[in-house]
Amino acid sequence: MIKRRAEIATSEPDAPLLGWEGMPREAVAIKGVGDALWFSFGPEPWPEALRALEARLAANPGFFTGGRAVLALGDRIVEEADLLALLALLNRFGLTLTGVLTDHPVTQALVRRLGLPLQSPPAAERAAESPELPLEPAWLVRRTLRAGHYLQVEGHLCVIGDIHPGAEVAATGDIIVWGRLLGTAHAGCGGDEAAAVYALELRPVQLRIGRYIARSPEEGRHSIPERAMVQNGQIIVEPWRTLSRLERWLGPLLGWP
Amino acid sequence: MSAQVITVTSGKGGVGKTTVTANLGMALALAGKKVVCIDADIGLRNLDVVLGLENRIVYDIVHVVEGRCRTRQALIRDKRAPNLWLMPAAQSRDKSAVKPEDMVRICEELRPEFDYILIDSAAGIEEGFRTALAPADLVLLVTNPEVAAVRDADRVIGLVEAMGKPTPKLIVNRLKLDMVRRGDMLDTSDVLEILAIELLGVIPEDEQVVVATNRGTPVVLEERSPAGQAFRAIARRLMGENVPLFLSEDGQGVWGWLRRLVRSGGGR
Repeated sequence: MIKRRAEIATSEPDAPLLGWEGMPREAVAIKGVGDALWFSFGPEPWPEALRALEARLAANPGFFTGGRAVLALGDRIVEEADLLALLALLNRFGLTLTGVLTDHPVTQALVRRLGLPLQSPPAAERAAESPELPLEPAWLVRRTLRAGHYLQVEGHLCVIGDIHPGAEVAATGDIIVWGRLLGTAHAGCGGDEAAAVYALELRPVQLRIGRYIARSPEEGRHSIPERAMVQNGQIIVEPWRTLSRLERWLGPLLGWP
Repeated sequence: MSAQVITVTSGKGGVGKTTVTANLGMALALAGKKVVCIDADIGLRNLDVVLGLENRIVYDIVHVVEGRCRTRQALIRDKRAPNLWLMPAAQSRDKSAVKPEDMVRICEELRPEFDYILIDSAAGIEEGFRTALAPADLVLLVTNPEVAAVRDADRVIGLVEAMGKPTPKLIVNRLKLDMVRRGDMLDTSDVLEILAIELLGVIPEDEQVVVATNRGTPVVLEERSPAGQAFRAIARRLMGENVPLFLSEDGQGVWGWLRRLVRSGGGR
């Protein structure tokens, strides 16, 4: 579940919503940035900060469940036990830690040692400045799928490699093949008919989008990237890039769509 | 001396695994290497027949596994090539009689004494397949230039890789040159395009293979047989020599490419 800046403002109209640069009035400031909640820690002693945070979280416990948390620790040194206590607290309220920002090298080393996602301040600042971009979950497969391989994912699927005849992939979203799609692909397998299939060489045994099924249109080699989508109740295949004049002229001769 | 263990496998049955194993074993032995061929097709043994050693079997691999004889006692020495040995499969048992760990143990025992250990795997992808693959350093995948055999071979590549073994090398067996020329058969390049693995060799269809198999004399012993020459070339390639690949008559290079292009009518 994604928490947006606006949601925080409406649910907690009286809470202080201070910018990253501003001095937080509370021991811990909570701010929505992108799809994550930033927890900015001021100079207060750690036990106090932790108590204040716990009070904030406990005041509205259901709201934070499933959210992503980014910790902005500033330049303070955080002890391992203190950081672990904070992680336990976030965990208790169903928050997933997606990043830690710290300027202090000792704390940076600790974050790295614990295997937590360390964000470099410049990147994080740029992310905070950038307009919100829609992110959708996708899976990346970096290998060739051979006959007998079957893969189904929630979300989009990207394959860097070929999908051989006899292999089958399915995704609730789009399917992108950076290679040859020669097997079977089912995009929008949860019923999403707006899903599409993209491949550098689209020559599948069978193609499905939502509840539509198509066999490979014709024999012949398709040496241009193509995409398939549902239009007017049937699966349509079209070039995935703008064709040059020569290609448009030659295309019909070589059996391209 | 520590032998390289080479498992010869395929997806589909009847594509020539046993013929390839027998001939490569013989070719390597004739080149002066010390070779043992292990028949892992328990219950359906036939490597001994192809090598013409059937009448000399006393003990087999199941006897070794069950501890009824020593490993050396189950090895049969070939008279034509004194460097070639065979460990036959059992006729009476099934695939479960030899477990993957048994095969690994036998190979570890034989490794110090040989240059090459060739394992003739059972067809299919069941237990016997895993047993034959367990000790392999190198996997040779035999296929015929037919769509069904190639599809099964593709599946086997995936399974071999999933077992943590290196990607198999390909041997295309029984290529009929005249049919390829007429466009009635998959060409080697078609097979390679589908499987996308390294090609180790191509063996042309050769009636002498049938004659030789029935007589129990591997075709590599026939100096002038095209298949025999192809097997010798593969053996030399296995030994690390740089031997040009025997491809179709169109050959390689610009002219071969042009000829193929013209034949396939441009778009293909």
